[in-house]
Amino acid sequence: MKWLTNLTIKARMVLLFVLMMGVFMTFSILISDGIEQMSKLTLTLYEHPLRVSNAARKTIEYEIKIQRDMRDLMLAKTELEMQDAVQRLRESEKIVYETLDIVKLQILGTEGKTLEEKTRQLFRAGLPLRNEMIELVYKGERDAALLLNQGKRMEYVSRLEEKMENLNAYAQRKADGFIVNAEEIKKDTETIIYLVIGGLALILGGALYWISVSILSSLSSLKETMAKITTSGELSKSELEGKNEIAEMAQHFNALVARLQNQFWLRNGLNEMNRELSGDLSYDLMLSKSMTFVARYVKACAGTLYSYNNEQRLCELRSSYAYVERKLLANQFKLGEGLVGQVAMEKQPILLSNIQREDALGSSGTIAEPPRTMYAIPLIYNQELFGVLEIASFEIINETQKEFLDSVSVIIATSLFTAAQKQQIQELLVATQAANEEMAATNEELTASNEELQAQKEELRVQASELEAQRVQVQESDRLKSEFLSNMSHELRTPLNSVLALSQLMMSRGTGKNPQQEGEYLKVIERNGQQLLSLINDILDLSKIEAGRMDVYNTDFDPAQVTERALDTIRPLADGKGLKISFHSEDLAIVHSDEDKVHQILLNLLSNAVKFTKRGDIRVSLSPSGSDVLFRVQDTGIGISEKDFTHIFDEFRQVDGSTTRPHEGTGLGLAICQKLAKLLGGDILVDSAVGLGSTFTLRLPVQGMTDQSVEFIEKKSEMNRSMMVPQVAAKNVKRELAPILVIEDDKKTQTIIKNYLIEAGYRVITAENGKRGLELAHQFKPFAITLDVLMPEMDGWETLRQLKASEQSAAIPVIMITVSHDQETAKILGATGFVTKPVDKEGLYRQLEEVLANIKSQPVLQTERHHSLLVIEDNEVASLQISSTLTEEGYSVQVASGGAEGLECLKQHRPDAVILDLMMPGVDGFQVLEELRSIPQMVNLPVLVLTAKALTSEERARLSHKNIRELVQKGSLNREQLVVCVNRLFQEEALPLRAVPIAQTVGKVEKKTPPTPESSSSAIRAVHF
Amino acid sequence: MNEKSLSLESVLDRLLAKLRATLDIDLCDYQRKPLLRRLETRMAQLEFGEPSAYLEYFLSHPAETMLLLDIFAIKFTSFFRDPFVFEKIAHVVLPAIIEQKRNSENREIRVWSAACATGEEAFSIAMLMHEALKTDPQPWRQYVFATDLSPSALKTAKRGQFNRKSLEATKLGMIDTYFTRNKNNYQIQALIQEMVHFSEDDLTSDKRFAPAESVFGSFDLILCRNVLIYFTPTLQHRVFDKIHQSLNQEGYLILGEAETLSGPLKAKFHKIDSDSQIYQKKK
Repeated sequence: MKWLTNLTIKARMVLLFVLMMGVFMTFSILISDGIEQMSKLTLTLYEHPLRVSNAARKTIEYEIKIQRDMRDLMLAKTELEMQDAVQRLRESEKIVYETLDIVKLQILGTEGKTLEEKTRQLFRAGLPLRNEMIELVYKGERDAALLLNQGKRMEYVSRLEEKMENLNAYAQRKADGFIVNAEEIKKDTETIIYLVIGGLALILGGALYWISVSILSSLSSLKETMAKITTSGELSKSELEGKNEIAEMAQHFNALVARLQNQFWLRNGLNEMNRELSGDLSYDLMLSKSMTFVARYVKACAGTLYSYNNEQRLCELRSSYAYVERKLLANQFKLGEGLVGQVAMEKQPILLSNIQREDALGSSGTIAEPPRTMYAIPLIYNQELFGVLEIASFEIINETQKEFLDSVSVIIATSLFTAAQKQQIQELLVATQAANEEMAATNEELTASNEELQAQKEELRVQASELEAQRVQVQESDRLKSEFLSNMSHELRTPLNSVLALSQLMMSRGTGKNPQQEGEYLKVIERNGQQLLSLINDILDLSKIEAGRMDVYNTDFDPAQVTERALDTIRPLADGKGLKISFHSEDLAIVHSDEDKVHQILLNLLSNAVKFTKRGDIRVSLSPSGSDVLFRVQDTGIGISEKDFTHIFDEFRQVDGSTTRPHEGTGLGLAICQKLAKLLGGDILVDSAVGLGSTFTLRLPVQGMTDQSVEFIEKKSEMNRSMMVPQVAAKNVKRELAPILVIEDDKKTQTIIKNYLIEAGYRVITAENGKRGLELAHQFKPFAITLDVLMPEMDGWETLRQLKASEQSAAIPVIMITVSHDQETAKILGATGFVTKPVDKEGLYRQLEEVLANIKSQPVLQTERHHSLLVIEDNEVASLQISSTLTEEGYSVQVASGGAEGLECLKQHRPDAVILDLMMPGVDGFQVLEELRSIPQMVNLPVLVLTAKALTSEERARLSHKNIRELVQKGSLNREQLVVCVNRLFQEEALPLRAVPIAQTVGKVEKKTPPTPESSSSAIRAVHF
Repeated sequence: MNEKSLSLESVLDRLLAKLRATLDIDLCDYQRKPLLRRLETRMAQLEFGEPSAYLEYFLSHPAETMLLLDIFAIKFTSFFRDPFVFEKIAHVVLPAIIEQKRNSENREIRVWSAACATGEEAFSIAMLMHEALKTDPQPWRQYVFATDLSPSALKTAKRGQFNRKSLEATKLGMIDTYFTRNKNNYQIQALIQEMVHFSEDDLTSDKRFAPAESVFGSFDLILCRNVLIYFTPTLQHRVFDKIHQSLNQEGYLILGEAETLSGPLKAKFHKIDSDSQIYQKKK
């Protein structure tokens, strides 16, 4: 069948066509042959038997006509008729002969010929008879003729007719034979035709099937290949062979597939290459990745990748694939040097095929043979050379591979370019960042030094202004001195003058002349003398105090009595000026101080008040303030302007120092008072407004000082200044507290109270009526409540009752604010304190201090199951943080602000554990530990040492036998870790005590135990010991 | 007299070694250029031409040790320096911290102003905290721990007196509320002073990660501004590590404008704002 597949489809079609034509022709010939036979037969049939029979019949017919003519002859009456009959007779005879000739000519078979001969003879034989009869008729012998006719003639006619009939029958028989023959021929022809048609159809069908199958099978094979490609997406070739069109088509298709495969290979290779190079690759990794990938992809036996160093104009080997370095082969190529250099120089690839030399072997573990092809491609991006890629292969590098390598070289070049750019950018970025930071640092520094210069300038300016101030001060003090001297001389001179004048007068007049007048004079002299004395005393006092020689004699006395005493002295003066003096004193403790000096101060303040007040009243009040007593003298005098506040306690100073001043005095009084007050450990405060009056307050400690030297006093007052810290802490405590609830319907009063409280460091919430107050009290659990009595709807008493009735608010201290004096009612209803309206600030503070003191003195409300902790820590901030953190954790925390206080607390109450700071002034942590461990029941008391200090070995040694549970370096843990450490104090307490001293334990932890995740602070313990 | 030939660099090395030995303050990981410049400035002040001459002077004058430390540790600062950052603190950072804590039992805010110099930054943050919480009905504990390695700077800071220039970026309302004007300076109110706790602390020390004064870390906000620029990257990374340990979960870190968070800990923070160096510790 091979020949068939090699037959083109056209040929096959032609073949089929020819075959069909042949069949058609054969068929036609067959048919026409059959038709011809039939027509022949028909002709024979027609020409012979029928013509013979027709001629026979015609003969018979004309014989009968002869008979009739004969009869006509006999019957002819005239000659004409006779001739006419004879003529017709002759014509009929002639036709008979003619027909007989036809029979003779046409009849087939010898039998027919004989029959015809006989018939002819018989007819010829009839002629003499007819002639005889004609003669007879002509002779008029008709009867004879009739007789002859009836005799002889009839006989003849019947014989002839018989002969004729025979002939006719023969002819008929002959015709019948032909018809049968024709039937047979027809049958035969049909059979043949059927057979031929069948045979031809078979042949034709077979050929048709065969050809179409041969075409369709190759077509479907091709189609299947195509379908497979479409469905599977994998390119595969058709396996059709032969030389026909479909095979050719398959070949073209295969070529197409091959090309596509190459394209795909190329495209995939490039894609994969791109993928390989995507991501943030380092330069070298990128090179090695591209080298390896390219070499693998083209199945190279070796490959090298050179990067081009633009500065040195050199190609350097950066990456290789299956490449063995040999001495012969350089790792660097200059431009134009070697193949690589050449490629680099030309920027054109070079392909070497059919390498035969043995010195460039590509080797595997098993073979070493020279590569057949070597391809070196320049890596060019944007017309710039970035390197050279060289690939060696055992195979010939085909076009696709070449194309791939060319494209890949562009990708690598691009990547190299990008990498170079990136590197450059990175370098720039680093440089920029560095430069930025450097610049920032320089900038900072410049700003700083600028600032420094500014500061220096500022300092200079301050110095200058200080100098100026000093100069002014010197001038001022000069002025003051001269002013003082002139004042003093005036003050001294005036009484002295009057003393001298009066005594001279008395002397010149002589004594005893006018005793009444003399008495007056003496009074004046005495008064002036007294004045001088007091003046001189003042000066002496001042100088004594200044010299530190003022003695203090402390006794116990009632401050109210001293005040009364001073008031008694001053009252006449006031009465004289029409001024009213009121005195209000609260219940005060007995004061231990120098009574005389207090008296002196008060006297001075009071006399000043009287002196500077023209009308109005002077209010004197006594009140406690913490550990102090406040003596307050309030006047409605001329007041002091703010700028003079600082000067009023200066010596020799009155507001108006001029000689025309309306007020007398040395100007020494307040200076002395202030110094005396300081001597007694107190001071004098002033609050004043010009035209409205002044308030001078003497603050005197209840417990006076024992040490009497002035220097100490100065020091002490400095200390007072540094006492800021505990005060700060107190304020902090206030802020830590819940807010104070102010229930007050009058907005103005509410604002006043609120401001007072905020000023004192409390937090405040306000309510404008009792109902709202109750709500807020329940919601916020305030630390205290101030409650106005007179309010619309629910008044203060009702609010108080409800507050106390509710379990949630019953414990909150309530301070009643009222104009009325129903102190008793308030107490009965459960109020804690009582402040009169208009709100007395100090009174309010006092009440709150009391509340605060009560709260502090109460043991911390903690349920029994909580552990108690003692925090011994001098740093307020630190102890506040520790205590707040641990209180939140449910510990009840007591704080001691120093070693001594800590030991005191320990002795009073044994806590469950101690948190101890090491570095404290006075009794330090080490001492506390020593003492603590010396007390038998505290030997095992868990102690957590918390220190900011890095311990020296000596200090460590001091701690080593003190059974410390935890040692924590401040600042080296977080809140949670601190809590863990503290919690552990108690966990470990439950365990049998460790016999190992802490230093050893820690040493162990430090060296051997890796930090366990469950206790991060054990690591801390180790690190900081 | 072979000391004469000593270069500025080697003198600096010796000085740094001396500082480390006497004060336990290690400036070896500081950027050298600024240190050299400052040393030069100091030498110029004292009119020393030769570095070795200054070294001699330094060794024979114990007081110079502290002075030099101050010069090396010099830092410019002012109230609300970079006002934008402080706006962010006031309107984003502090409200977030407050919200985070409002309903917890522990209503406490802890801030660390590292390398606080003369305290302006610490006071600024304290003012913002006070502003944010002054009307809050609940009691809050507020701490600002401010640390620096220069005792003299801290002394200035504790005094709380500042000149007008350092208040240039401060809103007038703030000045009115929180400062008392004296003749030559502005005194910060005791209220704010009480909130800020100054202490000496070497940010680069590896003895502890939080200042000792604060007892423990757990800060909600750490400001470490304009000091990292003086550190080498290695030292910066060490400081970041300390800060990371000191911060609460989701605590904030604020760096100076020219500083960026770098190194291995960068991944443990996320920058909350592209325009300022505010970072939040990841959970």
